[in-house]
Amino acid sequence: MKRQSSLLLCILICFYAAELHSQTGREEIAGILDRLVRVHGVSTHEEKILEEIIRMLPENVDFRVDDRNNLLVTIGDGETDLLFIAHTDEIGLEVTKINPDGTLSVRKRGGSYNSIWESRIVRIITEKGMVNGIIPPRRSYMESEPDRFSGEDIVISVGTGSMQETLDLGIRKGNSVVQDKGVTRLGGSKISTGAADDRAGCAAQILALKQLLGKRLNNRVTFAWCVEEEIGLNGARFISHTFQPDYVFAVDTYVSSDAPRDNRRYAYSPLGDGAVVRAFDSSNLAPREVYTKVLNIAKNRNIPAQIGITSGGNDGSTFLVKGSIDMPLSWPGIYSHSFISVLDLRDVASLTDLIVAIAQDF
Amino acid sequence: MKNICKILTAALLFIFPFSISSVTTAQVDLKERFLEFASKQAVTGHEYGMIEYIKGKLPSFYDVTTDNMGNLIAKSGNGDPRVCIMASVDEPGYIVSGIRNDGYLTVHTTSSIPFPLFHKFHEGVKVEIITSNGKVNGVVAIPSSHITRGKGDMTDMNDFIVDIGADSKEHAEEMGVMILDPFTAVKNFAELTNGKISGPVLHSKYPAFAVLEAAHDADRNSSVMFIWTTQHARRNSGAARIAESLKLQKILLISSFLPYRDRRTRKLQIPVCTPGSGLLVPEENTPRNEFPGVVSDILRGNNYKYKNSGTGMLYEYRAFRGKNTQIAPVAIPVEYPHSLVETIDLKDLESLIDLINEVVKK
Repeated sequence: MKRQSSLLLCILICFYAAELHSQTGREEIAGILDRLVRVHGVSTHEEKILEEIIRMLPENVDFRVDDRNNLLVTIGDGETDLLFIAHTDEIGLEVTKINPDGTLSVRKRGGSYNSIWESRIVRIITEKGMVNGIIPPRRSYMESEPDRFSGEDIVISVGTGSMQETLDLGIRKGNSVVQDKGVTRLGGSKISTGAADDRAGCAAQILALKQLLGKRLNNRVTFAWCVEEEIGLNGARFISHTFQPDYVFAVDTYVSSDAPRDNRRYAYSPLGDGAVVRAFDSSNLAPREVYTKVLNIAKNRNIPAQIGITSGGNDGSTFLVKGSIDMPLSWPGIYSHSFISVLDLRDVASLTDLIVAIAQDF
Repeated sequence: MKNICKILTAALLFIFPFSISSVTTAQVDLKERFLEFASKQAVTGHEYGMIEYIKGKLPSFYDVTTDNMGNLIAKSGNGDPRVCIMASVDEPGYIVSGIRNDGYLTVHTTSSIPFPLFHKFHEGVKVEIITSNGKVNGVVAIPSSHITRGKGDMTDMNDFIVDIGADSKEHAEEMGVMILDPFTAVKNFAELTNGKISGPVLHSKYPAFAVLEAAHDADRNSSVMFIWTTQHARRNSGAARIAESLKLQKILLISSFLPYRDRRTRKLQIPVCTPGSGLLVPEENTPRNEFPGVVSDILRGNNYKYKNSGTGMLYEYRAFRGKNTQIAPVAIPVEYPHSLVETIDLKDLESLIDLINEVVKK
């Protein structure tokens, strides 16, 4: 009876210790993610987010920034080159013209529904600072059969009545435009935020790097935070011109259909079920032996992981033609390319653990 | 003479900047008070939080009562009130209509909103649900752009689904969510240039705010009644109750003039909606009586900037029909009504508060 009680006590202590540990991890991820998403970085306007990530790197780590503003850190020794790559940019708008009436014409950077911009408050990032603006609804929004809201309808008003007044605010052609972002806690361990794609990937890499520093590695492991994924994988392509890793692990969103308005025919990887080994997407089909190996690594370390099929491209695919093998890693995310993307912090914790495990065991 | 000039110059230099900064400070204070007020949720039928907020802000000399519709009445001075200042406090919003087994919420609206795109504007935004246990965060589901590829447009309320991060109906209930809990989009405002403010449901907020400001400014001996009514957007039930329970002679009605569809012709009627146009009063051909004439005289006599405008549907006219009550409606212009970027001009709001103060004094 005494032995049974001791055993039960032991199990309980282990359970609570594990739970406490994972809770701490989640809070740390939520904190890092909130810090990262609040820094704006629309494609080609990524200087600030690059600076923020550099500030968040472990102290005394050697890093380099290439001519395209990609940030790279290499650790470990060995003959096999592993590259983990996350992107720093986010979807947004860019001012293309200041109109005579003071309004701003814009173009989208990265793909998104036009509707996520209609009837929204936006911030224009100028050299003088942030300027508030609104995107009014389509002209016919009160009609019983309103016109379609097209990309050309996305016009910003900052409250001015002339081009000069707008110029006086410091607004210039080429300024980036964003919506407010920040982590909002939902039920359980889920959160909602804009720019989860790919700040969650950036966060996972920062945390993984912290865990790996000082550890013995049998592989040469490079972490890259690269620019301009949303507008054509440009940062990754630039890296691929000078660096050909054996394996590249793009650490980026897995667009899941675990959402009420998406069809679950494919991409159904539930939130909370672990990191996703993104074996198939619009740009890549990972070899069976590689995704099996990754799933086995996860299994051996008790890391929750699931295999997934989804849409969208990934940075690793730019390395394919040079001979690298691309094996994207993710967390399941829903409401992609919106400002309310939802993810489960447990999945980002699993993703971080999986990156660490691959770096050590692959 | 030289000395006098010097003294005069010094005095001017001292007074001039002081006068500019004091005006600016007053405007900033007004803006901050207004934004605090506008951030309070008051979905039709669930105005209790707002009513309590207004009660808490009233000077102690008022005799304050509420009726069982939730209408708030504040009376000062002795005897019958010479004049009554009235505004509604409720805003268009939503209630939880059901909790699905998978934890998602279905919704309904408590107010009739004549423009279907109002619901669509909520797609992909964060919301706050007021439960008996406090606020619960949620998001309005949007199709994933990568999976649905533009084919999942929200067409009606059936597509309006709220995600609070719950995994099941039980989980949602544990979070405190119940059927009928009210919610709205998270109140997000932007200050534009030239004193303009943008954000959701400002048309529902500025009237009650202006009346509260005037109640604050009023003399304790003035025989005046300030009334904040509930359920304006629900057949104007609050004002109808007031019409039955109180014998009111003269009402200065602060109520937005909003677009509406003519019942016979189905044509859209749009009142003046350019912020900065000044105050709005009914067009000359509106049936007139003595009290609105007094208000017009104040407007003209004190050089107020104002315009005659169509009033839209003013349900208070119907509520007080046959009651021998003279009603003088006043509004300010609201641009993009029933969108999430309704825009008003603070100068118009200041002017409205000044007018109410003058009516109270007269």
